[in-house]
Amino acid sequence: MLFPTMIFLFFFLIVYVAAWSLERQNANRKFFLVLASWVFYGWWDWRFVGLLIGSALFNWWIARTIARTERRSTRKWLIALDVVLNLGVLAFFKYYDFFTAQLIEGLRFFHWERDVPLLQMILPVGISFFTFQAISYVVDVHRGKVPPAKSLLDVMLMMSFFPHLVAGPIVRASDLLPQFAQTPKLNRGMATHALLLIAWGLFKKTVIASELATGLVDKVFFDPASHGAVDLLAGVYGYAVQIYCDFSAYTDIAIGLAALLGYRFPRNFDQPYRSTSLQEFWRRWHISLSTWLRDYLYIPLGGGRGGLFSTCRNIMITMLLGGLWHGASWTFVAWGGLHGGVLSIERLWRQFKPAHWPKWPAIVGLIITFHVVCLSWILFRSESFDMALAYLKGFGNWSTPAMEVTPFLWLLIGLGLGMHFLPPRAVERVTQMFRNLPSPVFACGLAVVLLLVDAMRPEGIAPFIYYQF
Amino acid sequence: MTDDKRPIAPDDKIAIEDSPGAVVTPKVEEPLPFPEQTFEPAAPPPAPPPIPSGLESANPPPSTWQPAPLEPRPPWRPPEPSPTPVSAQTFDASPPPPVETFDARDLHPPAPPSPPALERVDPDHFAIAETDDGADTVLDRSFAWFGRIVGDQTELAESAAARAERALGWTSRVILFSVLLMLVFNAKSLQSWASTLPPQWGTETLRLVAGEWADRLQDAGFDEPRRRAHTAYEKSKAMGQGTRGAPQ
Repeated sequence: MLFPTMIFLFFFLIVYVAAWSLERQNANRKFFLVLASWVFYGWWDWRFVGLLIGSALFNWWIARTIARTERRSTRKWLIALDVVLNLGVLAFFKYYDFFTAQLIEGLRFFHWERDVPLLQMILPVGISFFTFQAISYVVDVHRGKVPPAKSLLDVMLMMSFFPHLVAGPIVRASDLLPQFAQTPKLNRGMATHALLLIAWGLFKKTVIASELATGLVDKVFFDPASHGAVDLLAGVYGYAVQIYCDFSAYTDIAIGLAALLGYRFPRNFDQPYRSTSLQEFWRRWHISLSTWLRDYLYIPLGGGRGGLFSTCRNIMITMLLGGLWHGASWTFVAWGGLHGGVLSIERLWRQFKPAHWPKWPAIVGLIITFHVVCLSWILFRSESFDMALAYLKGFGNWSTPAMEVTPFLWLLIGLGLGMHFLPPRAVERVTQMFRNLPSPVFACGLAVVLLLVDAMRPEGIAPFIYYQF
Repeated sequence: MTDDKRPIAPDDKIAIEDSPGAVVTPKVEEPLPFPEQTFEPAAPPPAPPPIPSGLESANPPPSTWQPAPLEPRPPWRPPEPSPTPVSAQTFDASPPPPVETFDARDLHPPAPPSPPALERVDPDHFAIAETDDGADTVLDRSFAWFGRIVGDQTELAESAAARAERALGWTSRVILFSVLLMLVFNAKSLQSWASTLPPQWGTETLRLVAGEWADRLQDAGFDEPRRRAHTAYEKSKAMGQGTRGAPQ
């Protein structure tokens, strides 16, 4: 069930009416939301609802046991068991075939070929997100940052809540559990902001991202060798815009849907392409993942406490694993490695830059950062290293004329990049203007926007890119 | 005055000699609502330890200043009656103006308890800001008459619960109106979606209803805005690329 579809609209209308009619019975409301979330997840494949329930049960039990255990060693064993089992499930579904294939290749290299079965498993949608969410909950309970949830229902809802279930943001227990404990409330500012975010997300996904994907990016990345430099350049810029519009649209819609049900999610994107360094980029891009990696991987590894070498080593490990989290492919690992390498170079530059050297203008940092990110998107989008190399080689081919990119697509690319230079919190400012409009006036405006978005979108909607992660 | 020795009580009525008919209530200090307090002088501080020999030159001699012992505070007594004759005093016999009573909680309503975990250092942490209904804007005032017709109430309600209820009503009306408008002006989408459903009794019924609905609205011209927007958009897509990508 994709967000920008008619079936989801009917689903959400039912959930909205039922959830607010249970406003005064918070426990029943949460129970209903859990059931609705399972229906939402089961719509895709009902067999994996059991995985979701099992994961919630296990993590609830571990967190509860950790909170009741006073022996430090037992708590450590419990947290280790939780992390190992969570990552084990994730590895089994997501990485079994990948690592088995690597094993077969390794054995072949030593002339010891064996038939190791590949399972060709279906990857449960959103498993990376709810697994990370579960780990963060149990680790936070272990660290004493959050108390264990008062009921199993809260943990079930925290992990299964349908707006963030399949593609984030990774909402932590410290954000959600206190909200579940009280009866949710709605105000007009919140509702206006939510509806505007949903409309804005639909525009970004169904118009910009879909148009760029079908008109340019898919064609160029499918066969880079037969395209000239202009198409390839437009293709990578187009992919930068597409992936931002696609993923941030999902996040905007998720945040808006949750807000219409009375819950607030953390910010996940903050105009990432206006960053003047890669470090800043990671403070603006997929914030819930980057802060997760910082808090549960980078800092436990030692963070920046052990000197320059260990800091750079920790950055590299974090980014390599962050790349692997995105998918079972070496191109994702290389993507993470490129980011880790440039982040380390930035760290070294800050450490060893001569004091008398002038500071770069911000625009130079912005252009360099954007192009480093674009270079990494080539690795991220390409299906193999050969395709990525063919893409990079194509930048030398200026004799082939542009075949795919059109002025309209350049306009969309410009629009997608231009929205990064709007005043910060632009949607919030529009919310302030519109929140006091009478409902029919606001509804008319909203309907006009949705009508235009629907008139502009291409036929059919591709799934969100981050569904596969 | 009934007894000269007895202190004036708050309920005593005093007759003014010059005005036999006038009776006033004198202002008498109320006894304090806490028990009498007596103060004991503080105990003298302990003597400093003797300085070892040889260190006298390094350390200055300890100060000989001692705090003066505090005088014990006399216990509180009700004031004596004023020596001035009552007749010499001027009293305003007119009743005092009515004091407007108010509850301090009206001015400073207690803040609702917020869970501690939600209080983050970064106010920008959550994507949806915690905004209230705020003051009216020009837009709000311009359309207030229209909002009242459909039940919107733009003035601030007394309590947070009432405000939340109104906000929920407002949101529900927005969703309802926009869905209805979309059903009228975008019936084609409903028809397209229904045609993709797998054939079953229910979906076939829905397909027939959606098709009939879309056809009738098309006859009435309600699909015109969407169709025009779509055509204009397709034309703009084809701009600058010759005939490639032109709308079919």
